[in-house]
Amino acid sequence: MSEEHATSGGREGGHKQAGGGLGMLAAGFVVAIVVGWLLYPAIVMSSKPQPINFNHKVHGAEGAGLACDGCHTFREDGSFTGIPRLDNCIQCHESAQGESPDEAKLVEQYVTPNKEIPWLSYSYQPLCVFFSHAAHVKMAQLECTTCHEDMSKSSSSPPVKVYRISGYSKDTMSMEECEDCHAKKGTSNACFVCHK
Amino acid sequence: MKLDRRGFLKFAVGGAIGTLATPIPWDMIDESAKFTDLWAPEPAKGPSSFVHSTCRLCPGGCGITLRLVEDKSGRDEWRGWHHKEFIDRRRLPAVPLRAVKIAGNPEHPINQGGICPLGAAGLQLLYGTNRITTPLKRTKPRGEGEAAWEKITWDEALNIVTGKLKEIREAGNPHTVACVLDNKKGLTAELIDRFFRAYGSPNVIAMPSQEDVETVGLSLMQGTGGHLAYDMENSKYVLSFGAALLEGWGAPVHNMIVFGKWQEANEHTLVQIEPNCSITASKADKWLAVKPGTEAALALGMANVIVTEGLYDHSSVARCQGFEGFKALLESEYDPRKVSEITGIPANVIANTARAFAVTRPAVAVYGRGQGVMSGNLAEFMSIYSLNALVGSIGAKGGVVVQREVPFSSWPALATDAVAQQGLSQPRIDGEGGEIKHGVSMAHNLTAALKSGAVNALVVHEANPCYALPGANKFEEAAAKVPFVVALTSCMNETARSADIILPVASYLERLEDVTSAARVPYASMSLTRPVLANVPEARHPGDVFLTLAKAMGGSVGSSLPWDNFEALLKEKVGGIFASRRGRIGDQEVAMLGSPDELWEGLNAGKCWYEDPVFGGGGLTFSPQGRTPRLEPVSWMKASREFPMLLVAYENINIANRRAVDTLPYLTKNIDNIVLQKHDLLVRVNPETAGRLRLLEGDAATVQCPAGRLSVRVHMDVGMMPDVIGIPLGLGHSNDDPFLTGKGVNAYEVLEPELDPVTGLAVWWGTRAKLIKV
Amino acid sequence: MSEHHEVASKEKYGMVIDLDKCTGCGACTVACLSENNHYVREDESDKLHSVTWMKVYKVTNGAPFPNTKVAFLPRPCMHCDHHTPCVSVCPVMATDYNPLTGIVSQIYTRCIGCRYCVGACPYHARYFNWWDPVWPEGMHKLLNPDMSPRMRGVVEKCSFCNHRQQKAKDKAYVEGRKELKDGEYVTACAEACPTRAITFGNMKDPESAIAKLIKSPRAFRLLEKLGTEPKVYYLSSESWIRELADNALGRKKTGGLA
Repeated sequence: MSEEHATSGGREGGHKQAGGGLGMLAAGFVVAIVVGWLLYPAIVMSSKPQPINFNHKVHGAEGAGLACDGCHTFREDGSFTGIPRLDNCIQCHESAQGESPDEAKLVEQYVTPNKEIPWLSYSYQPLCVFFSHAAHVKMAQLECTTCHEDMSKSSSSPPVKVYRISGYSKDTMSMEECEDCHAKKGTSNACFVCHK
Repeated sequence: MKLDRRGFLKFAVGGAIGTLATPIPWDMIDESAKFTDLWAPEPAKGPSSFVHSTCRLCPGGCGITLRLVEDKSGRDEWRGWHHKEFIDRRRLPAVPLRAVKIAGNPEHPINQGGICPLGAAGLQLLYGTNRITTPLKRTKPRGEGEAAWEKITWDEALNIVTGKLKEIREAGNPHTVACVLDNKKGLTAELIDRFFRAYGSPNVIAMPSQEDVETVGLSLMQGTGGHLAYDMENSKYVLSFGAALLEGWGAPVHNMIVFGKWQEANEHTLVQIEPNCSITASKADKWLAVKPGTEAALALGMANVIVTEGLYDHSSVARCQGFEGFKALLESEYDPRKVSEITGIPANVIANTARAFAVTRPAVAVYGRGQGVMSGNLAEFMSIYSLNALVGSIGAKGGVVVQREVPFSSWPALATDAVAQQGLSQPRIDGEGGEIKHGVSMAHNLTAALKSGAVNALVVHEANPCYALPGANKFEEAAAKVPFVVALTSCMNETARSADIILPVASYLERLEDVTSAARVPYASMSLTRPVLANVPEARHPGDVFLTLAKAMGGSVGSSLPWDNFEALLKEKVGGIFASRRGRIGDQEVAMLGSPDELWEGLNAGKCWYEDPVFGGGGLTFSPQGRTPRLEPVSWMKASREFPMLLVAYENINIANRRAVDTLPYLTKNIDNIVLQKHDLLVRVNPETAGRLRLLEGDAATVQCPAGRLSVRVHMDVGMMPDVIGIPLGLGHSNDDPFLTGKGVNAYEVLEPELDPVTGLAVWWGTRAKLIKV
Repeated sequence: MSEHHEVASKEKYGMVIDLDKCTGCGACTVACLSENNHYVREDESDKLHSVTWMKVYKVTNGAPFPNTKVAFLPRPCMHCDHHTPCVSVCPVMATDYNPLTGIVSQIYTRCIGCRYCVGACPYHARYFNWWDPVWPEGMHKLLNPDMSPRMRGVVEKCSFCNHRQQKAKDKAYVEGRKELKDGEYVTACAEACPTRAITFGNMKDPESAIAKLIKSPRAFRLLEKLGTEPKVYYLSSESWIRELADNALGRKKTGGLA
């Protein structure tokens, strides 16, 4: 072993090489980490602003007193409405109620011309996925905040980070997360539970 | 620090290890999977709603339920695409909608939730690739190379049409304008007929149908008009003389629903009489493989057994006239042994079937051939229909009835000026009625009429005579002689291609229209097609087109058609149903409704109005005006040295044939590879016959007929009668549809109609042929 | 393999097809094509490559004219209950047996297109996607949002319209129910069938129509001798069809595909 080392070291100056080598290894590692965590997201994802800066806080418990399911409701056929439609907004915002520039924008650009707001979804699933809100909310009685960020404290709508290749959001829940939770709760992980 | 090779490698290894600790690899695996998801187009992603309507793709009149989805796609939102969707011109929903599914409507009495393959594929007509999106004007004269079109506006198109029609009328020749439509059922057809009569032309002509010969027969034997229908649901013994009961005859889904019920109850017998082992023959309890064209003899042979053995219904026969003469005829000419020789059915089978038919009540004999387009002669109809009188099934429950008319309010009196009266007094160009006139169309005479130069303008409404008239290619040549041809159609077809002006009409999912009385169903019915969405915003309702034309024509034409739009007319007509207090809508009696609006709303919610038949023993005259039921052979039944075989056309429920629609793409998956292989049509030949001609499965061959030749391949089919060639109708299109064009050959081209000596109607279902190996 | 089937589930879905009623019209096939987002190629006459999850086979007793008989045999995926052949060969777990419903899945985004399963399936129920899915301009609008379209290079097959089960369940959940009622979840083919030849439902529910039908003396399954326990049952009163169904061709010549 040592002889081998000596041979190779002897030829190219082993001592110096060994230290520099580790350094290079570490340098490569650090560069990769920096690229992967800082540069990569900026390259593969674009950031898209929401059409209106929606303030969940003023609508929720601390403001208008609406619960999540005041706007995010189930339809009769069992499907989940997700982001509410303009009809919901109009119920209160037929005309502006306050001074907020976002509300003014809502009334001016959407309510008056009766145009749907092109909201961007943070957690839109791929076509092959069937996610049942009814199963999670109605049957398993999970809180919205188990999966979604607690929006009741948030006073702004952050831009949506969207992958440039697939067009899906950064916050789209991954299969791993689904599987982990299902395994923990003893729920089936058979493919056709969540795939379509 | 100098970077050497080893150092670089270490840097790379470090980089690789580091990368594993970043999201890059896992993200990329995920992304690539999601990326492949994008290779297919994305479905709409909004909430669903359901709408009831009526199918109009065949005369079956099924209730359908459409699933609509708001056209909002997640991906599109992110990419900020803006939908350039149609703008609501006809009070359609403001949110763009996509129709994603057609299913049967379980509440509809005709189909009770079932649907046929054509109906289920209807969205491919709505979203079809050969929809016509704007009015078109031909740019090069006909016959000068490929047709070329220029897009024009509706105003321009209607101005051209009005100008031409006015010019002809002002010259005193309104009768030289002809209109061809598929059939004369329903308000749109009645409106068109009225338009042309007010204009001064008697020449509104429907495409050939089996119902023509029935109309004449019914009028002669029973002195009544109307459409024949069969109460098969209540019949215990059905003797079908070739009607493709389970393959598209009458109201296809209704028949199949009834068949399913028969199979469950296990107390119904279906006997199918036809030369080949069709699907109906195979599903029947008994199949009698009769020699083609001898069905009349078989019916009379059975009548002979019933009469001579005294098994007939005496009270029914007492209501009939001419029984003694009929009996004498049967005894002298149609002895079972003699009939056996003619038909190829053993005498004991004839006798046993006749006995079972006579003693099982109620029983019914069904006249028909295929889906109801091809027709036999009057004597054949009379022979088969007479059986119903012998077993007491005329007008009886479980028998044959005449469909009651839908009690629409009647049309106001037609205003005709001198020009119109002069035009209407001219003979019809199709020479309507031979010896006896019963107002039926004789579309087969159109070719000669067009050729003679007697027609100055031809309007074709949702029909395709250039493809689907027996001797189709000759019609196309003849149409080329007409100075001005207008086609109203939603899709490009052979006839539209030889028109000067094409007017795009809305498909059945885009327009409000009545579907009046499903074919062959014993009760009268009416439900509406509804404008669910407008995929082609420029397409117009044909009724509206003619109402607009009428306004532009002015004079007696304008005053005869005063309605603002078709909806107004329809609403007025529906008022008649309310006033009649007849029938029910859904589960409610019309008599219990408070106002005509309730009825109108019900119909617009997709409910069906229907009225049960009134049963009661009826009779007939066996030999009216000296016409006797008899076997009247057609010329092509005789073998000749030149043409030793018989070519017989058959129809397939998956190959749309002649109606307002052509075979839709989904259906091409259902067409067997023993019917169509790539571009080759396969004819059905008995293996024994094929062997004699040294033909093997799939061999290329030529079918040589008196009227022309067709290049085909051969499928050996044990269910085919020897020396008979079976060829499907509905293939061989040249209509610019990538799913259809150039596939197979058009059998209509070699089928030559023979004229019924009594009625002058076309008899067509076969021709002489020779099969030559190539 | 079979041990995971013993999960205590109250549901096991199956299908009964009454061949005495079936007229081979193909409404089931078209309903399936439209429900499950199938594209159509300009030429579909090469039936080996023509993707039809619900394929109607025409079979004949082979008897010479005029004793010929034909019958029709609609063939969806059999959703084999025992040693599901495709599941046992899949190297990437892109197909599995769902013990909750008895439905055999196929996950297109996971499939690597090796086609072992196509070879393993005794019923020719699996198809490989040789082409990019293409819809003519505008025709993609009829796509069903409940079903994912497949990409080129993957295997696909009948799913018993599993998405309809998912939707029916959602509706039940919102109404506060856990179990489905008979008829709440049916496949597109069963819904369309004009002669009502196809019955679909939960075989474990003794009150369901299907549970009664599978006990009929006319009931049989395809290639029962393989022991795959298909969950698609057929009913026929014709002995030649029953013999064909067990591939009796070698022993006794009774007919075959027309």
